Amino acid sequence: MKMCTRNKKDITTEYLNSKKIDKELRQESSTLQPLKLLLLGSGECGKSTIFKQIISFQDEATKKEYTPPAEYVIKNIFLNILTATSTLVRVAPNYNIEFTEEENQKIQTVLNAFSELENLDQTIFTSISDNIKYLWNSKQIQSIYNDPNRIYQLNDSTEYLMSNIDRYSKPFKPTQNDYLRVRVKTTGIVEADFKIEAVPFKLVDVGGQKNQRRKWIHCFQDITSVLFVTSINDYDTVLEEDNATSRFTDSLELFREMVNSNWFVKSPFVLFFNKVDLFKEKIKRIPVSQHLKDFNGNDHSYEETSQFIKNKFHTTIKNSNKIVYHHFTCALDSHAIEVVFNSIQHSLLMNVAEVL
Amino acid sequence: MTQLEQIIKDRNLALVFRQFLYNRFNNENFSFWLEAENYKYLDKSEMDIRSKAIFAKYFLADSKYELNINFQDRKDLEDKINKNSATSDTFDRIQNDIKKHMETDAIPLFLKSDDYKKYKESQTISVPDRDRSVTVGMIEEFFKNRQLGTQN
Repeated sequence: MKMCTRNKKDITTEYLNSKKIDKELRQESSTLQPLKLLLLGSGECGKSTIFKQIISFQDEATKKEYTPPAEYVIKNIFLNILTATSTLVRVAPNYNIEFTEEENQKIQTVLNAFSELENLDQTIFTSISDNIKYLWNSKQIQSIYNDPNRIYQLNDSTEYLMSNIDRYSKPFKPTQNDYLRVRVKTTGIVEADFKIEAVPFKLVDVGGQKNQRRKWIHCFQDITSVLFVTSINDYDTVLEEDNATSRFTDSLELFREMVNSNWFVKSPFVLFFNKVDLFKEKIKRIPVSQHLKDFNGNDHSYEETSQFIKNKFHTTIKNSNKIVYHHFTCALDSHAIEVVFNSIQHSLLMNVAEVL
Repeated sequence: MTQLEQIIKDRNLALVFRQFLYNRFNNENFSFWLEAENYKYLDKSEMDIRSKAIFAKYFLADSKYELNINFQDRKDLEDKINKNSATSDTFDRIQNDIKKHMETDAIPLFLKSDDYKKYKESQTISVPDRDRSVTVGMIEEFFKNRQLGTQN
């Protein structure tokens, strides 16, 4: 799964010193500046999901501080489901799709709840969950959902949430998966401070849409490592904030700009190709070559398509000595966190070795 | 009562919230919400000019305060502002979306923050005396409007 542009074996000598360095790091930790990890990437690529994952592996106090209470998660699940349903039914006329009178009544109950979100709670959701389930499974909505040339924006977690709707239709405790899958758009800059074996870390998350990027520069200083996230699943979609720009191109250009930026000359990158689970399903329906015109391999091969995309990103790196760790991941992949910290430990050792 | 309403029923808490957002480069949502709320109290004759100013400030690409909303919503609002004369409900839909966004993104974090806890314990705020921030001005206007509203 994981690939490094440099192999651990390259630094055998340094690695031998790792225990000593670890110890020194711990001793100095009270005076150490926190190691700053910065999440970057376009909107909806999964930065906040990785943020949530990293936090979920920390001690109880950290988790408590940075995890919203269950009631918010529940409300956001309802909100995500209602938003998706109303998007799908509202776009139906553009597809010349019609509903029966009975279906229209069901639609109306959903739209009513959507227009009074203030009151949205378990009771209201329970009263309309059967209607939502019916609509989601209807021929009409499924054909809109499966349209290969989507003309609307839809949350990537829609299918996951819809398939769990029976569980949400009565009082429930959100699972870790629910929490990771539910979408909340980030604006501004969000920071979390925690310690791992007495070493202080600062994890920084940002909003990814174009209009948010002007804020990024405020957190570019002293970055230990950039965690760049790209949604590999978005080879066929356009930006939410600008429907004339393909998400793939935007993400690639953003990576090019960041990985070659003077701000991060000394910061190793971890490049996450996120949402591989969705990607594997999508390539069966939507040929990669239809959207990435210079791909002429096998559209149905995960290996070929994902390597092609990986290479596209790789070739944007101007400095051949730049350390970039690649990782293919998805929201529920808890290995992501391991990779981050192994990579960081690895690159820290390299930096220390440089100083010596 | 929604979370935002809980915050803005107290002028000082609104100031603490504004400071919290400001420190996180996330102030434009609240600032827009206040400006759109204050807009409703304007005289009808002022609405055309003000609605265009609000649009330029929060919806034009490259504006420092550009809101993070989707392409279609922005376009719908632009059409509305260009084609029709401004009315008190011109911004209602987006204002509501922005409120919803704050209530899912920033407010849960705010309610857990030290800023909030400190205020709840001491009921005092440490907003600089000479803070001339535009948003602080909007908060003052908001509370003035609200007071006038309850008197009428």
